[in-house]
Amino acid sequence: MRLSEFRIRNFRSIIDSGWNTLPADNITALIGQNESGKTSVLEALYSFREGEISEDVLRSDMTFPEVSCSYRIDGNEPFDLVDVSRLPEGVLSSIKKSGVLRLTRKWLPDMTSQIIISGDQISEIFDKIEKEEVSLTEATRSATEKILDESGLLTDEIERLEKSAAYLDHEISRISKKQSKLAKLLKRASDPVKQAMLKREAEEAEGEYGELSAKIKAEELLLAEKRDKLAGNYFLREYGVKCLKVLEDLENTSPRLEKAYRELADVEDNLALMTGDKEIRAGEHKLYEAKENYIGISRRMESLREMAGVSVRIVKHLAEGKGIIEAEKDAEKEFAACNNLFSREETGEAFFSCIPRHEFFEDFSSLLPNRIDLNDIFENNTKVEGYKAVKNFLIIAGLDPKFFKQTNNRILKQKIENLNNEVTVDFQEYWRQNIGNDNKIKIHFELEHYDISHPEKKGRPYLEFWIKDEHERLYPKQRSRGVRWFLSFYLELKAFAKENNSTERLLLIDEPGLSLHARAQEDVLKVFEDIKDQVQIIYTTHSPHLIDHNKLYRLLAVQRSRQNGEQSETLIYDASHLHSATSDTLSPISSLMGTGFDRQQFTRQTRNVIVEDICSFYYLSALCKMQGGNQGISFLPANGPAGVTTLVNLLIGWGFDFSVLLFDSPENQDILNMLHSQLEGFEPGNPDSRIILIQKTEAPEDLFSTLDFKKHIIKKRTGIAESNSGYIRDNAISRPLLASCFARSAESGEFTPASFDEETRHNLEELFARVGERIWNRGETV
Amino acid sequence: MPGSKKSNKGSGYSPPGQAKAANQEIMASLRYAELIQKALMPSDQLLKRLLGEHFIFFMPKEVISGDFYWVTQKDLQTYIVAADCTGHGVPGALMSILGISFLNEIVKSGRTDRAGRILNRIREKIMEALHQTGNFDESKDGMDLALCIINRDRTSMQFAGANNPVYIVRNETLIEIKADKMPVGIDAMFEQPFTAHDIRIVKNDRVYLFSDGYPDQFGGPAGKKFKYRPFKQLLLDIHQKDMQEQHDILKETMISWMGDNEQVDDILIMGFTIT
Repeated sequence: MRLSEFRIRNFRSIIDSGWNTLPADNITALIGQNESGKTSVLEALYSFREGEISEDVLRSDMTFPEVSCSYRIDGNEPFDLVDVSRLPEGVLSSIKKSGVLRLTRKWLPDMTSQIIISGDQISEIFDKIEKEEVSLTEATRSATEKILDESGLLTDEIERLEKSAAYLDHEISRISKKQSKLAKLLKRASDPVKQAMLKREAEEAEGEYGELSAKIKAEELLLAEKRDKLAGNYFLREYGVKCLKVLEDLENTSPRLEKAYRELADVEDNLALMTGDKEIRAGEHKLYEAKENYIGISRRMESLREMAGVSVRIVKHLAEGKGIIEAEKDAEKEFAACNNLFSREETGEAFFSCIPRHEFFEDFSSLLPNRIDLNDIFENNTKVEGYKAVKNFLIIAGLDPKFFKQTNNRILKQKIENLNNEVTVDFQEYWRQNIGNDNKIKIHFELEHYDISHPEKKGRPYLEFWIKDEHERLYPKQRSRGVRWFLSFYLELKAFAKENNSTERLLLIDEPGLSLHARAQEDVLKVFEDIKDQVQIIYTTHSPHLIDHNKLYRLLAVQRSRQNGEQSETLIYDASHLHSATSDTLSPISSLMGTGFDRQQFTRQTRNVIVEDICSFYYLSALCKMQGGNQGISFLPANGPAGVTTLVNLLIGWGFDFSVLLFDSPENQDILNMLHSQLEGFEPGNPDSRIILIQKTEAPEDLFSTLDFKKHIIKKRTGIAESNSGYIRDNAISRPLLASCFARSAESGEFTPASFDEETRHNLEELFARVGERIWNRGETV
Repeated sequence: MPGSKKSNKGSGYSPPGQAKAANQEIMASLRYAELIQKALMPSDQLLKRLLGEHFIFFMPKEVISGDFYWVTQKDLQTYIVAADCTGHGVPGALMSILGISFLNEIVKSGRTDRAGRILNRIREKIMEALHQTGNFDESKDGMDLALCIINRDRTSMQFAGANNPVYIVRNETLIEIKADKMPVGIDAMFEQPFTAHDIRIVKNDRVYLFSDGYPDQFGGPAGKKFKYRPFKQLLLDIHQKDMQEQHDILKETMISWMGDNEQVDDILIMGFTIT
């Protein structure tokens, strides 16, 4: 797994770096002027892993830092440290499918931070889960409200029916009495008229009785139905009400928890400022109370959350028509499964444990000191000079700090003596420069105690270091900075290898080999090349010697935006946008062109061909070599067309033979005129003999057919209806990057003349024939 | 009318008068487009001047065509093209206009006179114009094309072909110069350069350029394709006749072959004699 992209927000001068892509071959160089923000980038990446920041990284607008890192994985990454059974469905497969693990650390106002897993697809999964939970709660609310409304109506209806039944009962009883009375009167009556009247009345009462009886029966049925319905809603109603109450409590508890947390933080802050014993005791008591309060509310909150989670699910199942026992069982099961899943933050934390370690290597802490107090080691005083280097040394030597607490001085001395013969650094591994004949040194250390000359530390133990080769024994600071840097870097690598053999690692190095000799700096670069398969490296530099001119894709240019003066923000340009960076930012590359002269044997007496820029240099050098050896031709890049005349002057002054190769661009017309005047003075009457103008070709890229340009230079399928150089210009592509990549590929043998089509081959043959002819005409044979 | 009844089905009812008017309007547009397309192709006068004895058998499937022919002269070299754009009708015609305009631009700019490079450049222009980058969801339009460049003294000819070959009949023998198996436009493979063939030509050579419309036409008693072998044999049989007669035989043969079958694609055959 390797860091493939990063994005930094609100970190010192960086407002938003945007996503920056790192090269796949594990080495990235950050270039830029002082104060541009290079070190901030390293610090941000370090803080991402460690989680700690100091207040001085905060911006004045009090926005809080956020650092996102994407790690490229190979799809078969085991993620042993992640409990995959707790990942929401789709998370792991999405990561494996995309081949990218993206994590973001956000810092909060209390300077703590949280890690979350990010990325569009992953976010969608968590959004869906959160949305489902919210909609479940909403569904519970609406189901409960609905059932309560329905129950209210039912209760009213039942009440009305009950009243009606009572009234009807009363009426029945009245009619019944009336019937008895009429029966008695009829028995007694002798008058036929009266008898007939009573009979009619009795019949009417009979009819009324029948009607009322039927009505009562109907209403009783309705009442029973309503009562059944109300009873059937009982559990849904009861759980709905209970659930709403829990949700309300949860909502109310959340601000109480926040308040308790703020109170706790305030009490802690106040306690730190207290001085008197009594005051401190009172403060501690308050702290205890505040903690208890916070813990109590936290627990209450947790319990409410669980109750709400189960309740909403019970209501859901009851609303679906399940019985109470089944609903409770299913709800608990569902909640347990859901509660077991990692949240966005927990998922982030889980994957965070799998990412490479980010280590910071800086000169102050990481260079081996002459001496260090053992107390600083015991107390982990990381701020003391050389702390990290000494820790590394002790790890390599297999010494635990407790070892020095050994009381028997003789045993201690003997063990140290034995170790001193074992800890040998083989510089041959990393540094090509000779220390001594065999390039091997030993690190000697001794346990000493301060004497009277250090009264404030008298009697305290300290460790003293020497670096010893076959000639002499010197304190580290007496050795050259180069030896010290390499030694310390060696210690760093070895200690890490010993401690974390299986852990992947990203090494952040601020200004490696600062103030080293140029050759030594190139050795640093070689070390990086040697270890890049085991350790990913991001380093800052101002030095052209720490940039591989064939691998400009490894660069990130860091600079301040200009528009806002001191408040300007840090901008980062990746390799494909280097052309947008200022020339000051890119000065190491410009210098590199100069430093390259030495490697290109600039001091050659003959066959020097001046070309207008580094791109022409890359293409022509590579192509010339490919066309059948470099034929002794040395291409010299000027710093843009305007620099051509300067180089011409230089070579005339040195008395070296040269030609000038220019492409037929409108900008070069002025240079051509200037060259004519310049060379007319040097070689009167024959100024053209040194100029090779490649007609109808605006730039070296136009030497390639469009097909070869697409296939070998931009490596992209697209229709190019204009010239190749026009395409580069219109699409704002970095020319130097393309050119250096081409040169590197050519160097690695990726191309032969047969790789190109007939059009390109024809152009190249013509060009090199002209170069050869020009040199030959001046008495040279190519 | 059964036809009109069918046409109303499924798309809502249109009054017969309205549909007729719309149809007339479309046909008028197509006729006008045909005029424009004809104007873009070389005039009989130009063909006569540059090719001498020749014929063009041009039978579009619809009013306008995806096949086109094009000739021009630059630096005393004669450029001859027979092309077949993807599709026929309106889409084919739009592509043909793109093709003609790119040919004019590239040949007249004088940047190259190599047949292969000309096809390379047309392909780039088509890819750029149609935003073709090789993604599966984008347009795959392009054209098959045969390009001949006859040198100034008419002793040699360059040929580059995108799927379409050229036939030369000499001494009763048909010589086929094969084309590269790729279209002028995006293809499944990363773009490869088109091959320019340098061919010696002699007086009275008969040269034929064509689209695949003729050999691919269905017909005959079994309703099968005409195919290339009979097509070659036909050219061998008739090559000694004068050009107009060859044209008429090709036309009659095709009409008789087609019978009641529908014409499947535009048909184009160009023939000329090296003088």
